[in-house]
Amino acid sequence: MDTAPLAELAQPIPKAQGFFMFKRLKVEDYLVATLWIAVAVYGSVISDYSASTAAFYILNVPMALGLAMLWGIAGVLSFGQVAFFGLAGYTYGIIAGNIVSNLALASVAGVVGGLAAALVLALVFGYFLFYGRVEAWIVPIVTLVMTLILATFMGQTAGYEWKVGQVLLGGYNGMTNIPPMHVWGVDLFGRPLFYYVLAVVVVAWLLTVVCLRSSFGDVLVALREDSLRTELFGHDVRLMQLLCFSVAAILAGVSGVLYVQWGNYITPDSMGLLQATLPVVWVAVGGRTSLLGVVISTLALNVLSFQLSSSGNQYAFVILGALLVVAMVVPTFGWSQRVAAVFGRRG
Amino acid sequence: MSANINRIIRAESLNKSFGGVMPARNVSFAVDVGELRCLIGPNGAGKSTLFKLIAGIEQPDQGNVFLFERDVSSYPPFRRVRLGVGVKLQSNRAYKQLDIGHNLRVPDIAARKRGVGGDRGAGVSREQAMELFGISHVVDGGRLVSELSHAEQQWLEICCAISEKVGLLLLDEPTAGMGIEETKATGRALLQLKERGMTVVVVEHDMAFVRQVADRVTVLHQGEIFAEGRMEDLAERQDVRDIYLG
Repeated sequence: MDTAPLAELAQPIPKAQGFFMFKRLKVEDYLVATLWIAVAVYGSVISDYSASTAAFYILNVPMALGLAMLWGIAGVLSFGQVAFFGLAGYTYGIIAGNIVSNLALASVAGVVGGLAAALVLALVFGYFLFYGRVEAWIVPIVTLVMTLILATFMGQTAGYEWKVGQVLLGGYNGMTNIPPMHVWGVDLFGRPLFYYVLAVVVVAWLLTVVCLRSSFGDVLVALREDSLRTELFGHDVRLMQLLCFSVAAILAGVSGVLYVQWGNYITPDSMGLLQATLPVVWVAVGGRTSLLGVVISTLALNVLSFQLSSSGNQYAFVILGALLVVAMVVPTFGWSQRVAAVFGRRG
Repeated sequence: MSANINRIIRAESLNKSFGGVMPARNVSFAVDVGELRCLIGPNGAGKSTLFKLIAGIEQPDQGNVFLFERDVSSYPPFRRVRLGVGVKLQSNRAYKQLDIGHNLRVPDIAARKRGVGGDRGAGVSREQAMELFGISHVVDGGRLVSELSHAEQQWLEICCAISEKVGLLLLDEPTAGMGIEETKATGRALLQLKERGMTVVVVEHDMAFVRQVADRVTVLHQGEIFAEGRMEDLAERQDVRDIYLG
């Protein structure tokens, strides 16, 4: 009997988490990787001005991927993504705007602070939501309320008394003159900004892939299918949902920080009712569970919105609304899974 | 199995009401280590409620639940399960839209996390359980669970609830919808699990099945424990027959 511990030692060591990746990757992951390469090449052939616009098209992808994970994979629909987007953007503006002596430090501290703010809000709000075992259908409502409260609050910060250090919050006019990303002595604009945004977006996508193709992702899918049964295997459902909610919030925060670094301003409208529905539309049209679908639909719909609104009309929201209705009522909308299936058996 | 644990389930004066209905009235219930206990009773007798109170899915209005002689009354379901409990819910609840491999990974991930140090388990692995139920062959391949037969899905669900560290298996109507031969096979597998030291509690309707497997039977009626004893003794009692037939 004394040999039992030795026998245990002789057991093969379970494969390290790092090795699972290539076996567990799906066809769509390779397709998205290919897409990023194509986007990178595209960025090199367009004009400097177009590259700046293209940066806007891709910067919303992390927020959409977060919602795809939360809603498509784990089954928790949230209208809170833009709240984390806005909070991270405003926090970046406050921090970076107050560190004028060192621009590089300002942008790095702003990024860290913005993401931390999103994470803290997600942890606090998500704790009450998931540890309180709020029923699933209530989550979209309370997350929407959280978003609208933040937007309303920021909307009334117009006066000079709403000043954090040297930075004015700006009420409905928003916060302006937010410092851009500053590295190696230069502010990032145009093509360098595009490549910086692309690099961040790719890292955010990789984070999503790692989450979903690991055992964490396996359990998230099980939660969506039957959360009680999953709990009865011994999984702490509340913790898993809180983690997923927090990762989604950080991804939304990444988009928020990229947005203010790109446009140098943010208004409470970025957390308004219309904006709150946009990630839901992108993810729904992308087929919810497919990262490929969500990435493509987010890119396509952002291009569409940008083109329509820069030509000066409001049709963008009408079209996006119609697309949402179609995506929700047509049950066989898994177009992206079919695309992936063309390239390989197990898309 | 640790020598110092004898009572694997002890429920004390459980009360539960839903509006005007009271599916548990002052229920006290105990199961010893190594038993294979069946809970029977007519529809609405409170079998499933008692099952849920033990698993932690429902909270009692009053009363306490002890599992492995530990007061788990305030534990959510996952913490009770982590003590060494396997649960199979009523009806067919395997993840039907996921493939079999994914269905097996989800409990395996939880079982791996449970770590070492638990001496409450019967030491039956999920793979061994699948052999007992005759479904080892389904492990291979990425087939969807919905492609399995009804009985195979039920057996897969039971096996998913089993790992080395599980010492108490709670099953709610495991043979529902099965044919006679499949029901018998289920009974044989459960008896083998019991032989290996697993304590099993089964909520069941099928009397032939109960006769086949049960050491002791608990009869519930209108939320109360009506009778408890060996099946042969209970079958002769006129009052037990009356609540079933009358």
